[in-house]
Amino acid sequence: MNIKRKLVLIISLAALTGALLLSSCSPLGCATVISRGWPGGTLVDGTLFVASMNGKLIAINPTDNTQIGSPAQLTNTATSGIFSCSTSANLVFYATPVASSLKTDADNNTLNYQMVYIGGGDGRVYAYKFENNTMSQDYSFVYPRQTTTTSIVGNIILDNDTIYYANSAGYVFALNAEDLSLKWSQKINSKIWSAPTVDGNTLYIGCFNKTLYALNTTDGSIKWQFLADGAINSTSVVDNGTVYIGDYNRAFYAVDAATGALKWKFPLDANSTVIPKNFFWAEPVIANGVIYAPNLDGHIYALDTATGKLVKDIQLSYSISSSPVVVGDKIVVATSVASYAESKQKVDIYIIDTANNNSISVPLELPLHEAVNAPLFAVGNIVYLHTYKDNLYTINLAAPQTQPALLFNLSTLK
Amino acid sequence: MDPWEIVILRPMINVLIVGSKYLFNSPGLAIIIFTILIRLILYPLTKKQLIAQKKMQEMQPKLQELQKKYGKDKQRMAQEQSALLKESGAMNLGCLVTQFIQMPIWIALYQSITRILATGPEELLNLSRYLYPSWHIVFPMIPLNSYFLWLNLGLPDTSFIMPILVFATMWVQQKMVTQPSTDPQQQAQSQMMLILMPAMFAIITLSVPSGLALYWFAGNVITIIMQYFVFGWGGLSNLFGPKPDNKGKPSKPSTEPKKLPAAK
Repeated sequence: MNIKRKLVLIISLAALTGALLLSSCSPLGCATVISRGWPGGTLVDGTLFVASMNGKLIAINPTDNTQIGSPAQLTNTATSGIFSCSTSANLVFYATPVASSLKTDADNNTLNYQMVYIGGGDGRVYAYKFENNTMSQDYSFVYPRQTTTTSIVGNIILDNDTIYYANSAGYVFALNAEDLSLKWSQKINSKIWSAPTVDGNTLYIGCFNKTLYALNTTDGSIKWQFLADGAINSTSVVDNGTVYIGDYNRAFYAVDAATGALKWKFPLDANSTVIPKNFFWAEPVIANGVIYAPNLDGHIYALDTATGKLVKDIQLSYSISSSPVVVGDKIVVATSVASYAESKQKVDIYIIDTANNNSISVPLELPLHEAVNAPLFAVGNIVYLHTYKDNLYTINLAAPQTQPALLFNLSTLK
Repeated sequence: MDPWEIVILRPMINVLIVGSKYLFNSPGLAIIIFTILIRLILYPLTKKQLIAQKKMQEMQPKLQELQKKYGKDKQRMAQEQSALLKESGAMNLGCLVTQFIQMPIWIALYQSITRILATGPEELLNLSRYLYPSWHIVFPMIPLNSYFLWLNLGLPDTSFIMPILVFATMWVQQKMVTQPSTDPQQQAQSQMMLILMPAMFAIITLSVPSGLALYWFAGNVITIIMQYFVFGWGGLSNLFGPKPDNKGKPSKPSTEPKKLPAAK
């Protein structure tokens, strides 16, 4: 065999081996979009719980915005490729952590610990103990115990010692918050990315099969179904006997919470003067009898809760993929340039004054190229923004012209 | 959005989604039909390219002769080779141009398919910005039904059927245009490439969304058909060697290479 032939053989074999290794042990994706997640934050009993985009569960003291203890690091072990190689990666969170109140003993004495729950991109719910200002490094409970191929995209809900959530395989679950044991599960036969909303003994959840379901919280049985025009990804809001929800077909609905009957729809039809131009993606909010429905087209449609009549079409600068937050009479909204090319990312933050004819403030800008998909959250007058680059910013509503302040890069916290 | 997205990617994505609507809500069928349509539109360019490719292969024995004759005089050999290729029509700048023109279309189709098959939350959010607001038909279609035959188009095909189909069609496609060489070294190289490329694509198929593999498979099939119309079965006709005649002696190959027009 001469040298040339040997060389060709070696190069060919090396290329073949490289392709084998690449495809068997790594997710050889085609899309340029990277899954980073978009968890928000929760304040319970004076502690703010947030999750980073590299699998960390973090406690923050909101009084001085300092980190409490060390974060817990969650990882996901998965098998992939034709050789079923096992890989371990930091967990991605789309769900916001939730926490119990401080526990009490049998004599009603306060114990200095809380349970913190988070739904992972690996389809599992984890429970961590937060005791004496220290986050445990290992989870206390997990459901399910075995690894899954699904994911939890919508938030998980803690209501009356029960955790409710849905996974992308189309199951809705109720777990005992005490030990994450299963109470019941209900198969919906459709992908679910939205979070459940619980009101009384009814759980409401929208699905990709264009249906809003009302389930009985005691056993998961279906009470009623409402068929929308498009897939539902947004989380519903329940207020005063009405469920409000938007869909991918750019329609927003008010549905009777007891019967599932349609009360009103916006826009009424394709001939309406105002037609949203994109999906209703983020969760709507209610303030002063008006529901504010954010749309990916960069508008917030302020609708009368009773009639669905358009109160105001609030046009903002960019796409709204993160859920706004209500602080008193004000609604804080983050709009992002909808691009995953980092250099094109830009965030404008608006404050809508609901008491003053829904007037909008001069937008505050984030100093870096950023995008915001995570829901905004607030503690008092401080609004928190968790960005695509895992930066946590604060905005002080008491001094509205102050530019957002960078608090932490959550990925780097130790 | 940049010009690439506005001019090429966005229209292609919306047309693919609308195509899915009218093809029984099946993005799988839309991918196949769209691939075929684009190949047919580009057929005149592809034909020129195939003819030039074939000519080049037919020139190989003559090129080898030149190599033997002028092996030591590199300059003379280059001149003679250039003259020979020009005379035969195998060397044609137009072929390079046509290949260059086709490339963005293949890239756009590839990107469109990966975007419409959005499986993750970020991918679907990304897809939303490509939809035409005035095309009311596209919004209720999202997310697209990802099931086609046995495939979940958004996920790799773990049944190994699609990798095998991609391998087989790519092998046939290459075999048709591979001419047997008298030089054993060159013959060994071309045999290795004949296996290596389809094998690499088959392995990659195991990791990419099967919608993309479907696009490769459909593209390979239509290329095979086009190649057949341009120069018959080509290398495939020699697959099983010369058939023995009545007296037990091997006969000459039954298909003579077609007389090809010069590529312009």
